[in-house]
Amino acid sequence: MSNLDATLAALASRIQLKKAAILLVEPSTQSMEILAQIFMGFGANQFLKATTFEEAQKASKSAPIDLIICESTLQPFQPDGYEFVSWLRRSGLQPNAYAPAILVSSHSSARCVTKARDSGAHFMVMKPIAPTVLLERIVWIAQTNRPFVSCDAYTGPDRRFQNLGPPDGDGRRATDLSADVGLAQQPNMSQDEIDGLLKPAKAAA
Amino acid sequence: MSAVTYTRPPNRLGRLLSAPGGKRLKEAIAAAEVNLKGISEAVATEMDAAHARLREAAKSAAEGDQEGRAEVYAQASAIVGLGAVCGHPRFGQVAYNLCELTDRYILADRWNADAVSAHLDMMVLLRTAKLSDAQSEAILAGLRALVRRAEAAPERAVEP
Repeated sequence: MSNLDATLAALASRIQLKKAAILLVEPSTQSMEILAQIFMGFGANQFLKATTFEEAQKASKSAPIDLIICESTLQPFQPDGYEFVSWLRRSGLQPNAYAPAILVSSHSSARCVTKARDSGAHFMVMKPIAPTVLLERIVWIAQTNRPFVSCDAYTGPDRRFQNLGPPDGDGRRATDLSADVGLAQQPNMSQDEIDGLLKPAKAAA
Repeated sequence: MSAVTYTRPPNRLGRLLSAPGGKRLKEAIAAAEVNLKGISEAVATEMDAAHARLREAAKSAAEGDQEGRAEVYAQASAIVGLGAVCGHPRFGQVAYNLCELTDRYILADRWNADAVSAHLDMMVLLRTAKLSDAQSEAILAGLRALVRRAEAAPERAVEP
């Protein structure tokens, strides 16, 4: 995790969710209760609850939200959780358009996972929800704080997890460097020259 | 070429999570699991109610009702998240398999009422009978075979 914020490293051992405003979007009463009980166990106590797309929209306009947990299937033949996250990302609502969003789903077909990724959700967590898995994802989101990408086709957290370089090793931009390093044009620096440049003695003092 | 913008929004969640106090991760997870145990009876009741709704939806789906088919998928989805919480993980696994099956049927605009009915009956069996792990696994394997068959060979709708 190259962009790990050092100040958040302590999250690996302790979390504080008491002041976090959490939006739970879940059409089933019992599943909503399951989510609420899990988060109460984590120490959260500020919930906004929504059971439909419209309620979720209304809630996201009403107050700043720190975390969104949204069921992917809301009502048959109505806008679903994917559409809610997609709408939120493009809504321009500050700061909620950037709120971390985890989609929860009972069904993990490739089509569902692709929809979740393209909607702008940070993660997709499968039901039945395991508290361990959910907490791991939340901590990971907080620690990495991925930048947001916005373009015509997608708005949401940066989905790239690997830097594989340009396709086939050849960049198309004039500023892209060649994959071949080539021979050195100057002699290597001596240790004294390196020390002189970095001044380690001065730093140590 | 469309413009692409990158924004690094303030890490509000990170700031909140790393505030002083709070719970150790292990404590938080243990507390969540204790809370879930506290609602397991209510979850079991809801799971049975969802199964009854699922059976009703399956009846109308078998008669060709498109909304009924979507309702079968929705109710099966609801059950997936409940089974493990109330100590019936296999029940949830059958519901997941039913989601897989009905998703394929809905996409392909076909329906096999017998295959759906088999799932509903197996849910009842897994809920009420004391089966060994091997027996439960054999049931699940049979139901998964129905999904593979639905994927491999398009079936025509079975009218009641």
